[in-house]
This record gives sequence, C-alpha cells and structure tokens, in this order.
Amino acid sequence: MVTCRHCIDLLVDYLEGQLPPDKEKALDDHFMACPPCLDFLDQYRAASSLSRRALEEEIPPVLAQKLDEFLRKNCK
Amino acid sequence: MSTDAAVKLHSDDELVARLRDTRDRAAFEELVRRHRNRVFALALRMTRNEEEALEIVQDTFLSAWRKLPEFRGEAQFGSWVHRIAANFALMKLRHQKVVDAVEEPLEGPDGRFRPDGHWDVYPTGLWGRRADELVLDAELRARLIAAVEKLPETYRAVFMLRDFDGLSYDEIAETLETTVPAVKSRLHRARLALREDLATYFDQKVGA
Repeated sequence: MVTCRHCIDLLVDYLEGQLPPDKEKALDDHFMACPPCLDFLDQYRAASSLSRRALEEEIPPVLAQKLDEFLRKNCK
Repeated sequence: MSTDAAVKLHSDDELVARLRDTRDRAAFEELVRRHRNRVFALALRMTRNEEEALEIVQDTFLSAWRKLPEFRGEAQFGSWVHRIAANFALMKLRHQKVVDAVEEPLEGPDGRFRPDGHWDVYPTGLWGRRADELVLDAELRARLIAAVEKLPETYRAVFMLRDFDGLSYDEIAETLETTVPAVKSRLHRARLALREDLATYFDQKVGA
C-alpha cells in the first residue's frame, strides 16, 4: 500500500507516465481514494501551469533595439 | 535572396539550414525575433535585472551565430539557444558570488506528513482544480514571479528549463553538468516550493 507521502515523492515521474505500470496503478487508485492527495496533485500541477503563464515576457522595445544593434555590429 | 516577408513562412529548421549554408542575415534576424522573448524571460528570471538579462540575450544570440556551423540540428534551435542562455546566466551568477559559496539545498515542507506517511495537515483550497480558468491578474503574476525568483539558482534554472522551456531531462542534465535524477529531484523541490507559496497566497485571499 502506498502512503500519501510516497505518492507525493513520485509525482514527477507519475505525471509524465514514467512509472512502472503497477506503481502507476497504485498511485491512480490512491488518488481516487484520497481527497487530500488529489487536492495536492491538482495544486502541484497548477503551480507549474500558472507559473508558466506568469513567466511569459516580451522583451521591451528599447532593449529589443539594443539587441538588434548589438547583433548587427558583432555578427560578422 | 529572401525578403523579410518570405522568411517568416519558413520553419526554424529551414531558417537554420539557410543560416548555416549562406549566413543569411534575414534568416538569423527572424530566428532572433522568434526566440528572443523566451530567452529574455529565462535570462530575466535568472538575473532578476533587465540590463544583465539583456547582456545574456546578446551573448546568447551572438554565440548562436558563431556556433551555428557546429549545430547539427539534433535538438530544436529553441532548446539549443535556451541551453546557451542558461549557461551564460549561471556563469554570470557564479561570478557574482563569493568564491566557494555553496548553494543552499531547497528544503521545506513537502506537504506536511506524519512519520507514518499520512497527512498531518491537509492541503486545502480548490485553486488547484481551477487553475486554467484563473485570471492572471497583476498581483498573482507578481506573486508567481517573486516565488520563482526566490528559488536558489540551480532550482530556478531547472524549473525554467523544464516547466517553462520544455527541454528534455537529458538536455538539462547536460547543461547543468549533472544527472537526470538530480534534475528531477530539483524540479520536484522547486515545484513543491512554488505550490507552498501559492497555497499561502490563496489561503490569505480566502481569509481576507
């Protein structure tokens, strides 16, 4: 029987389908039966997806121009 | 000779081939245009400073221009430039540190368990379930950026390269001169820290 802690420890591989089939099934079953773990799983995934959205940047036009000038000057 | 308009229709692979064969400036400029925002994002989060981030972006694309004859195309051009950028960022950060300073390992509550492996304190809040619908307002965005910038540098680099840039574990391990298990461990710790920070944020909002 997998403990809650053990499930959390395996999240990286679990979320990418990298666990052996029996282990993956054990975690699937656990998440179905354990609401706190399911909440944690959702939050763990959400932390990544929200961060991904937040981290998008557009290089400011002034810096983009400096970049262009630099490359024009140095890329020979 | 390609016009600017025509260049936009080509894939990265086609532009890289054109650049490698003929040093086509239009092709290079288009590749820079396509990838500069994400390279800037990576550099900015690593250095936490716009001017230093710009230096890294400049060095990255200059390096790409010079090294392109060696670029075999086994990886995506985007992954390749992100690896170059990560290397420049980490070098810069290391130079800025006191010599021999060792990075603190990222410890922290990974959900609060009892010794028997069961929950001591339940993770609360439904924010995890509705994450894709959540509006990313300025406050939440600032909070997320601050949380990422608080991560120790290698954890930050791993998180950015994997969860933001989508590089493979092998690529990240090679870039950071470490092993895949070490990368996965750092990624996990980084995600746990971010989750913890967000949980605090959303708990406070509910309580307010």
